[in-house]
Amino acid sequence: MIIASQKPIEEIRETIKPYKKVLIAACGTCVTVCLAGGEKEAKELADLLSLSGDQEFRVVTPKRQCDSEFLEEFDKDVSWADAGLSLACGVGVQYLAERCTGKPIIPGLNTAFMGTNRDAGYWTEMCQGCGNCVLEKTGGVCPVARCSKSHFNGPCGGSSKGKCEVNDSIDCAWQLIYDRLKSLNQMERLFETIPPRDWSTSRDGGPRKIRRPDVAIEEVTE
Amino acid sequence: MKTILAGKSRYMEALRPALHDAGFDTIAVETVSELKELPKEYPVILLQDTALNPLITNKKAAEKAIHGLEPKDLIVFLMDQNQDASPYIENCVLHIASHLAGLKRNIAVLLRSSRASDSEFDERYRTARKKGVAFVKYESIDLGSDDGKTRIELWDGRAKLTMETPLCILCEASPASELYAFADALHVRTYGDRAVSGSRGVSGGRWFLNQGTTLKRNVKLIHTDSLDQDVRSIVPSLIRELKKLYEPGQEKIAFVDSKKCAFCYTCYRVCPHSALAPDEDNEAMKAEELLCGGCGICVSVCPAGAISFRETEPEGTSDFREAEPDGTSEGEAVAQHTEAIGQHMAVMEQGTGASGKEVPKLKIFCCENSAFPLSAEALSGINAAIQPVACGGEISTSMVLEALKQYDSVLAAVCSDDACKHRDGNKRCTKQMERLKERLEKLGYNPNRISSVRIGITMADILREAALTALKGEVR
Repeated sequence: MIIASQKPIEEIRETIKPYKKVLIAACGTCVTVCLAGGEKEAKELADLLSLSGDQEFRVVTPKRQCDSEFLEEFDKDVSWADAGLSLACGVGVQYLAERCTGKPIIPGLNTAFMGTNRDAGYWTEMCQGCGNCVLEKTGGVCPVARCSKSHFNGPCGGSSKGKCEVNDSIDCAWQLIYDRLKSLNQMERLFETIPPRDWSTSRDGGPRKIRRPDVAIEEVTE
Repeated sequence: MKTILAGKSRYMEALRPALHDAGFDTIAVETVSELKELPKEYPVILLQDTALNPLITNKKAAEKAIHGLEPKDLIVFLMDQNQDASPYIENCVLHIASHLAGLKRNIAVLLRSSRASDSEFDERYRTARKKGVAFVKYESIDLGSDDGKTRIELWDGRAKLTMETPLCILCEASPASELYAFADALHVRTYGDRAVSGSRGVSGGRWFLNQGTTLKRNVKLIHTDSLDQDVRSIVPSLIRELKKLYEPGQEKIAFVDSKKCAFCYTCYRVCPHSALAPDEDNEAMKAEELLCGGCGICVSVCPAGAISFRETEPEGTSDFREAEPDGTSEGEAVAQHTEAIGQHMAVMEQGTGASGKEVPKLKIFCCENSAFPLSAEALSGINAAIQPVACGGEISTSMVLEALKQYDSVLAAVCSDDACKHRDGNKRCTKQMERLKERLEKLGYNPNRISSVRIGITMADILREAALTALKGEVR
């Protein structure tokens, strides 16, 4: 799931200052679940920002901002507004912006990472979407996302008592990999050298696309 | 129809007149044979004082117990409870263990789980450690006796540890045996009669001393706990339970709108009563009516705005509904009671409105388990609008913001630290208020327009003081 957190409220107020009518678009999927941009947060934000009485707010909550099918309600309300404040991840913000050419769409969240909910109110990063998964080699612990240096062949010298030198609240991913492989009785995997990898499947190859020709309605040639 | 108050509770004597004043007729029974003579359709409230080992509540008793022991003898406190157990016991143990360690005794506290990482407990653990108390966290334990001494073998996940002690103090609260006799007679199963370790399912592990449920509508188990509670703090929840019994359609319980539910499990994680679980189709969360404590914590945290309070369905499937009360006197009594609260509120709302005084500038959300029963006395002469809430956890940011549109300042008056009947509704409230204050301040508003106070049922003066301070915090 995509994890995000709300931008500082003073920053949001500053960015929406020029606009009299603001449509706050919550998003009903990831950011609702991570308590950053669901209907509740959107309404709270509207309440807080309207305390000054200078601006008007409306709230819509599409199920997902990243799919056009859910955005009809938004389309209707945005014609009322001077600007949209999207409480979705960066995907939703951009998607809304593409749809309404005449209106500015402003982000209300900082999209943080792909992660998991460890406990009530606690999320941690698990995946960076590098496009070439190696989890089978590393006992199901991702060296790309969970090692601060994305090391592929063992820990750096900064690993101490199972913690990372970047911050001792971070578990050393290679300690986790070691523990996990030990419990799986797959310690021999640690002798395998993972060669330098091709990062073009990750961000190095530019923005990525995925197509499924079998699902596509029209033939695409690219 | 009358309500049976069954069990041996030191609160019984004080409770009956209080309930009578609220319009409920009660019969007290202490034994199963007395109970069996009464009509079956009478609803039963099982009252149960849980008995705490006096060695962890009473310094003198503890001192006496160690009197004959050698100074080198190890004294063991065995706290075999899981993380959901009452923090009260942990508090008592830390207190007594520190005290005995201060008397130059060897003290070990064995625990299955601890709140040492909780900031409120952190300091207490540190103090105890400084005094020489040794804490050992274990995963499994075996007790045996050997020549008048208790032999303890424990496993901490890495190593086995063996110790011998002439005094092993069991730190637990256990319902007295009469409770089981009543439960048998009424054919109910007590729900999680002991804090079990391990699983965190609905049926195991998540159990709290304060709330007991029998999963049977016309029988309710109320733990009166071992806290020295003022009887007034029990009455509101009892009245709520009675209303549930007499007017099943009138009780406010959590309701999940399955169309809006994002299935995020936040409510499941925070519900102190384990009342929320996935529905039959595993498509949305659902609140279990009989488990719901009506605290409103889930309503205030639900990120999708999918949970609301809803009155229970009048068409109950329970056996109690089949025995419909013929007279409506009890129902009227409840209505009168509700009306009385309403009038009380109206008076508070207007100040001495009739004499043309100005509208109140302060809104106070009062937890009905502590602040609300006090409010009439504590806030007399203060021009404030009082709104009772089932729990501090019900007070959402939206409610506070809504109130700020109308009032200069808002005060949340909730239960004192370990007294929350819904585990941590009071703390949730304080934390939410702090977050909101911070955000208000960043927007350039006076954060003192909102405040919160934690009070016990006897702290009328503190509530009054908080209200006066809140009034001063106003800025227009």
